[in-house]
Parts: sequence; C-alpha cells; structure tokens
Amino acid sequence: MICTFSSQVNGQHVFKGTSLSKALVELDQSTKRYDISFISDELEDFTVTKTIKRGRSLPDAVREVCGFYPVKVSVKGRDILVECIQKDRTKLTGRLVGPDRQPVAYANITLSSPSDTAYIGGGVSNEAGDFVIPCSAAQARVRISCVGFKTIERVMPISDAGTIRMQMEDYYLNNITVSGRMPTEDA
Amino acid sequence: MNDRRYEDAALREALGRISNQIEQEPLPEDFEQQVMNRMASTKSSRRWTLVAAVSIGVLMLSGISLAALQLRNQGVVKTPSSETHHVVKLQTIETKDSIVRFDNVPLDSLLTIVGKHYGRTVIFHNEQSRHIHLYTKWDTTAPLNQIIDRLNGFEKVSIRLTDNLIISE
Repeated sequence: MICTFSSQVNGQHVFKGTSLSKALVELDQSTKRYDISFISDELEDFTVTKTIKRGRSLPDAVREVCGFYPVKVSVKGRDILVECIQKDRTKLTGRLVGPDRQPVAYANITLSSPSDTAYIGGGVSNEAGDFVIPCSAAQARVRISCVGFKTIERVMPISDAGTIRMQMEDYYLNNITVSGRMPTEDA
Repeated sequence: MNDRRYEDAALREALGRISNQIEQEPLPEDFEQQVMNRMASTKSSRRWTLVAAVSIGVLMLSGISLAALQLRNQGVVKTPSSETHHVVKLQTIETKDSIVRFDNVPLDSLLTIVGKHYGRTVIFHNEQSRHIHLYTKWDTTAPLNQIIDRLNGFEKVSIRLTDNLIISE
C-alpha cells in the first residue's frame, strides 16, 4: 500500500540565505503527515543556508533548518511548533568571513556586559557565516572565536554589525617525527 | 500659484496618510467576511484558492521624494529615491477544502475569523498578543479546541474558552 501521508520531506530542499519562516513554509508544504506552526515575526531575521536531503523526517528537517538559533521546536502529535526562545526585539546580526572572504561557519559568538563581563547572550554562525542573537541591551562586549581564526573581542552596539572579517591564527609546531616501516614478507 | 501650493500640501498629507495605513493596517476592513464567504463557496473545491492576499505584498516605499512630486493635469508623477525602504511581509489567508492556512496573520485577525465560524466573541486581555503574527493551519470542520490547543502550544500565547467567548490572556 502506498502511504500518501509520508512523514518524510518530499524531494531535496536547498536553502541559501532563505529566511527561516520561508524555509518552514516550504517544509510544511512538503508533507501532509505533519502541520508546522510558527510565530512568523520572530523568525524573519534568521536565515538558513542548508540542504535538506530527500527522506529526512520532517521534525528532523525542521531542527536542521533551525540549527543553532535560539529557537524551540516542539512536536506534539502531528503538530510541529516553532518559536524563538529569546523574546528580545533587538538583535545583533552580522556575517563572519575569513581573509579569503569565505564564510566562517560554526564560530561562537558570546555577548557579555561591557561593565562587569556578565554573560548576556550567545549564538553560533551558520554555514553562510550569518549570526542573529536576540539581546535587550543597547551594547555588549562581543567575543567571536573559531578554531583556526584569531579571536575578536570588542564592544559593539546591538544592531547590524555587517560583515566581520576574521584573521587566520598561525600555529607553530615544535617538531614532527614521521616514522614508518617497510613492509616485509615472511619467508 | 497659490492653488498649486495648496494642491501639493494636500497631496503630501494624503501620501503620508496612505503610507501610514499601509504599514499599520495591512488587512482590509471586510477581509474576515471575504474569508468566510470564500470558505462557504469553495467547500467542494480541490484547489488552493487565494482569499486574501493583502498588504500589497512586499511593499517598497522607496522613500517617495515629496520634493520631487509634480502635479500634472493627467495625474501625479512620483520620483522615487533610494534613501529609505519599508518592507512589509505579505499576509495571506488561503483555503483548500475545509483547511484555512494563515501566513503571517496577526492573532487578532486569526481569532476573529475562527470566532465568527464557531459563533464566539473574541476578547483580548493582553493587548500585545493581538500583534503576534502566526503561520498555522485551521481545519474548519474540527472542533474549536483543536486550533486553540495548537495556539496554546506557543509560550507567548494563552487562550481560554468559555461558553461564548475566546479570551486571549
């Protein structure tokens, strides 16, 4: 029997800088097994750069597009609800690129109070290097770190930070010993 | 010359009023009735039918340069500048069979439509919740508590039902 209400996404979905709300609408229309609902105005600033392969279950596909954004995904029966955990209206947004202008993915961005360095928020850049961190403060000490790049730390206003270029970190190894053996045949 | 200045001033005022209306009142006044009418007339339809695609889509008010407005006999010539952009996301309400899909629709409008269908009055105790924009689907043949339970799944939404009322708290 052919199951017409498959829980899997129909076909491959490619998102390149697509708004999260648009991506969710597209996924919602890919299967009848689940219904996606979300608070649209909260998700408009979050962008998705990801390829969802055919055959993923819809809840997994939704979690994948939400990535590291501060977004809660709850599955209740056939309902999938998506909403932003942080309700702050203002957001620190930006894009991280390397010296070659290629996006820096999965960098950690930590926001702390400029006066006492108390943690006030954080996030991770996506595959396109984009990050969106809701924050109620007017400004914050922003620390951006990623393996292979020099850590950036500076006080920024909570707004669009634009494109931030990260510099490569130089690594020096003390010494390397390469050892090996010639294969021998037993007589 | 005096007449010309008067016309320009009136035009400026009208344009200001229109742009405010576009940003603050994206749905037409009778849109709820339009939805209900269309739902009634398309029950047997197998196709998604656009009922209300309002708010003029992605509206680019490209900083209409009022200084460049010229009043002509034939009408108004507008010269847009690229200094400011206001992007208003499309709000749509679509129906297919008994399913209504709300895309980016304020909770206020959504509950009003749902309330009318089930013969309930909607009351907002929390005024801020009126402006929560939602994407969701509603099966018009299902009991009222189905859509209400779904909406209550959001942390931001709290709706209570009484005999005749839908109360958003």
